[in-house]
Amino acid sequence: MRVTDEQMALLRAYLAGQAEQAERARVLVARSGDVEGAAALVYAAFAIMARRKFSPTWTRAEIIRFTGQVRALLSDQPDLLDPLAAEHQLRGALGEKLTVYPGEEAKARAQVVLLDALVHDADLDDAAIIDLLSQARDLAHRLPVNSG
Amino acid sequence: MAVTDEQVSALRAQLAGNAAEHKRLFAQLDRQGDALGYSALVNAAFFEAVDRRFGKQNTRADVIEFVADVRSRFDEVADEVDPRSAERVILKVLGTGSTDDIDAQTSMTAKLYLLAAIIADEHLDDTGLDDFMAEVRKSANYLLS
Repeated sequence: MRVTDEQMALLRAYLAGQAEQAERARVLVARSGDVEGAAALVYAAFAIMARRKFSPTWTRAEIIRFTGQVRALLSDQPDLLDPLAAEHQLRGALGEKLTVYPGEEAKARAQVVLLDALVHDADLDDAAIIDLLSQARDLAHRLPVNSG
Repeated sequence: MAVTDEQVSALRAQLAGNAAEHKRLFAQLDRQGDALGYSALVNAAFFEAVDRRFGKQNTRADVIEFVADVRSRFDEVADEVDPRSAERVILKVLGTGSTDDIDAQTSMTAKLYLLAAIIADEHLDDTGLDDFMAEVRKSANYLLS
């Protein structure tokens, strides 16, 4: 899956908390009509950060508690992150084979919100975010379509 | 109608962590005849337990983390308890939101697991559990009157 420089800039600004830059980049990405590349980049970055935090050993209990902590921080927007979709996406990113899938919107939202939470949890600085996105871009290039 | 000794014993066994005894006593209840009384008892116990746990500190964040903690204890609970429904049945007791759109089975399942977790966390001895059951039996009888 091809990832553009604009999609990289969008996710970098989002993760750095740069709202204005993120909005400008979002408009550019939206105009390009290529949202699949952005989705693949988000999924790749999310999967990398999930594995950094939880691999090599993890338990379902850790996933549930982490999701709860993220949702507690967002408690003024209780419907922003679907807990079951979030747990599903984390377990899937960590290699568990799951049979029931959340809806596309819940899945995409879970990846974006959890990625932001994982980056904050890891306390990544700008250089580390750039490095993460570079790795994510490489991974996204190898991902088949709709793999997230 | 009033709560019966058998209904109290069945719930007490569950809250004491005696699953086999709870299963035995619950199987002896009459599905039709005991449903209302047992449901009132569970609801009264849940209300009292939530009030004890969250009455003085009731932020939504606390509730979300508590439900996650309960679900993380056993896979069975994680599978059975819908987190958002569980949060909402607690928040309803605390005076926030509505649970009108949650079906009865989902609501009751969440309440039973959450109730058991709150009581387990209180580490009540036999006397403490007896006192709790006596108090919620009175409340349930009031609900049924």
